[in-house]
Amino acid sequence: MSKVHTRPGHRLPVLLILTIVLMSVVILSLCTGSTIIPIREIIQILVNGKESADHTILVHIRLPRIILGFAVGGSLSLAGALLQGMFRNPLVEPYTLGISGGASLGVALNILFKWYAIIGTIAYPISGFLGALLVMIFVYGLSVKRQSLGLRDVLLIGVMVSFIASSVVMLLMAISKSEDLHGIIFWIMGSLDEPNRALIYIAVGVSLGGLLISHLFCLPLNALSLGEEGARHLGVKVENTRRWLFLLASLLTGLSVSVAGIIGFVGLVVPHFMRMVVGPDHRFLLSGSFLAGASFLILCDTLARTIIAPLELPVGVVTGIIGGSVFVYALTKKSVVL
Amino acid sequence: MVRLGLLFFAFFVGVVCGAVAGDTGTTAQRIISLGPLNTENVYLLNAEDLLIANTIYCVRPPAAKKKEKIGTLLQANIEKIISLRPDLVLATSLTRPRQIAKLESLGIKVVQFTQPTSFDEICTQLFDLGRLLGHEDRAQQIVAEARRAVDVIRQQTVNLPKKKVFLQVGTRPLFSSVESSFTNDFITFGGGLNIAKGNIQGIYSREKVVAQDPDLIIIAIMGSEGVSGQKEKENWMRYPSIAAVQSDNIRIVNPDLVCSPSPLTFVEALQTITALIHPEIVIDE
Amino acid sequence: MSRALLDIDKLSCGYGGKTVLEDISLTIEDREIVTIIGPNGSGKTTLLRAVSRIIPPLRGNILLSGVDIHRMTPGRLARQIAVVGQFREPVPMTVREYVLLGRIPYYKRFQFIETDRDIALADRYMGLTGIEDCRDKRLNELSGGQMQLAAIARALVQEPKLLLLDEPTAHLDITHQARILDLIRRLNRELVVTVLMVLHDLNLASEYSHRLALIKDGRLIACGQPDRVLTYNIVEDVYNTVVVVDKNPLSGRPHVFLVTEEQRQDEHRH
Repeated sequence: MSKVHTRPGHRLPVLLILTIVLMSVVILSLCTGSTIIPIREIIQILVNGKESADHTILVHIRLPRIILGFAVGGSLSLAGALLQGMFRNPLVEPYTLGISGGASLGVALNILFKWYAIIGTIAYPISGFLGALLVMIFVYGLSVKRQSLGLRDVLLIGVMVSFIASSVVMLLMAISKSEDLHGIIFWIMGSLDEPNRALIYIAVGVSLGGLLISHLFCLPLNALSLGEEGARHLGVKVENTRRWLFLLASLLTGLSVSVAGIIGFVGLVVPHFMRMVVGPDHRFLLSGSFLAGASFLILCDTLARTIIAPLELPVGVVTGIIGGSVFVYALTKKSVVL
Repeated sequence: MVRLGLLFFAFFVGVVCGAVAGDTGTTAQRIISLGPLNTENVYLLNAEDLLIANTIYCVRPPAAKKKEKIGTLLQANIEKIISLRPDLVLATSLTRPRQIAKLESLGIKVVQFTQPTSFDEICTQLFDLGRLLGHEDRAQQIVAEARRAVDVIRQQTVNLPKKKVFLQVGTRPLFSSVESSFTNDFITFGGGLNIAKGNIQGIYSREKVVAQDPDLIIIAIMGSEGVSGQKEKENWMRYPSIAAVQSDNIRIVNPDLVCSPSPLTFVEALQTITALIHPEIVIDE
Repeated sequence: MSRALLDIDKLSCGYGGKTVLEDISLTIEDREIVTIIGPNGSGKTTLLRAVSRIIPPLRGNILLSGVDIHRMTPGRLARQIAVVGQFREPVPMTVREYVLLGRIPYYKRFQFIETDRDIALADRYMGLTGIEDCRDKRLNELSGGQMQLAAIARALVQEPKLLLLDEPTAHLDITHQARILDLIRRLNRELVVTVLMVLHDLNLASEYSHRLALIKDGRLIACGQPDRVLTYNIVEDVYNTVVVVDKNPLSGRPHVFLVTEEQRQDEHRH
């Protein structure tokens, strides 16, 4: 018998390709907008044209959006991959746990009670995050307290909490003035134009930190694909893993939602799609999802800014339409060899 | 001696910094408006040459349609604004706080004009804008003119018996004119009584309208001069107990009348509405 | 005298307060093949799950090489016991990736990729179970028999001392049944792995086991060599059906023959 010592590392080139795709998308996004700034001019502007409008546009408008798109797109996709691995359900996405509902509720309360008048616009992400945190604690606390709650029950609770929160938000919208109403709706529609630099850095830090930590759970996640019992038979501490994964996914989602509003589909479609491209091995799937999610969101944001310029589409609309369509197409084609 | 010199130096630096930082001396030269009310006011003040861009909803006066567009009431294209290099941006209460924060962080002055709650506030807003643009005299003039016209109408209606009026500004859900809006002034100045006076934020119940039995219903919803207005009128006709229905006193007006008016358009709208409330009098123009 | 590998001592366990197994005591020696038999719902699978630490015991304890399994870390247990369960989910991974999952209990704390040894072991056991030709196929492309072989390979790669199998021949045709049980016997002899499995087919159990453990209604009714356990009165009593037990002419092991209704009536008439 010939000793074939090939490692299953043939997925690494895919990650390299994804990185290149990401870089291309970033460059594309830097160049496009209300005005097109050609690539060769970019370096020149960055170095020389400190006072020009183009410089401001590049550095203060497009670049922050790209960076935030990287952080949020990566976080949401990563959270989706973690949750899909944990629940072994391809329809699970970061919002299924009710976190987006909680964040919307927090922001709606903020807008209604005008907390932003007291502490400034930082009230938006803080209230969003607090709302997300409360839901997180509630759902997590429930699943820990009642050990008998299976994964499916936790999922259902999350979905119900999401509905309840959305209904309360609609209630608040119904009794609010039209200006507040618009504020709430627009926040919910999601956008990457956060002006606070510190928040963007936090988002990047958390997303990259999350990516790093999640890799400690690659093998348990792989083991979980055999089912909970199967994973236990392999010596995986299932409760511990679930706890960490839940925490990680919630944190990534909560932060993304509070900074950028609700941007759907990224957490559902990207990991699912990456499963078809990179395979179910989480050692490649996690970073693959992150990179693909970041590229996808930056691309969608670029489209949102340019398709009907000078008007701007909410980025959630673009992710939904493109994400959903591409996904349906890929599924029906089925010629994609895994 | 050295200490005195230092003091003078500090004072001098302070003055220079103050002069550079503050812009009390210079008025805005390149303005962008983020809402129809601001646009209209700018034109009123004869400062339209300073206006370099506005929203696609700024259609009053017609000349405003030709200006460069930077987005909608709800979403402005920050990039475009930056590339046009304004020194003053006039925001509205619908402008997103994030976008205001972004513009300010890039060193652009933003002044927000919130939805006026009364005629007085409409006048104050014009004043403030006039001051910003260095056109106080013109602002003064316009406000005085508007106040005069409004006073005339008020005098004409003050002694007339008040008619109960329901001013409908929205349907599905039914939206009334609220006390915290300038639309309330239309009714009060016009010699009427706003039955929805106590209502805080606008959503009203049809039942309550039936119970309050107004003498006049004014429909000013979007598209009211078309099909929707007619449909809404038919809707009201289904409640024959209402005085307004019995006396066929359901009137449809152009919704633009009740939408962010300048002092002069306020006068126009007031005249129209007063004529509906008290058709018996002749309004002095 | 070989040391007892697995010592189940007065074990009682169940689900949600309801006791399924009552006072089970059973010792399994090194290098044995012990098969658990019994009617449906008697608690056979529950016993396996108690040994693999999925269910906690209500009373009694389970010792592996003298150590209480509940005192071990899950990782250490996984390096000694491997389970081939009934659960089959066709995950879209290759056979190779699937088999390599069995090396997870051996990964060091921050180890990320398989060592050369891991890969060599996987190749070896895929060869032993005869599925090395399928190594790059996806699990959902395999037949039932191949899937079972892959599962066994994955369990072997854990280098266990004790191999637990829950109905390894369920849903398989006779060819594959024989193939798998022959494989298990061969593994038991060549790799020195002790086997504890559940089979519902009494004759297969008789053929391939050193000892049988018969469970009914959660209690251990009989335990010992096949000709001690598979006697016609014990079988009739436990399974509530008329049988005849005779020797297999080739192996000498007891075989249970079903007596049909017709034959019973014929008997009565004579």
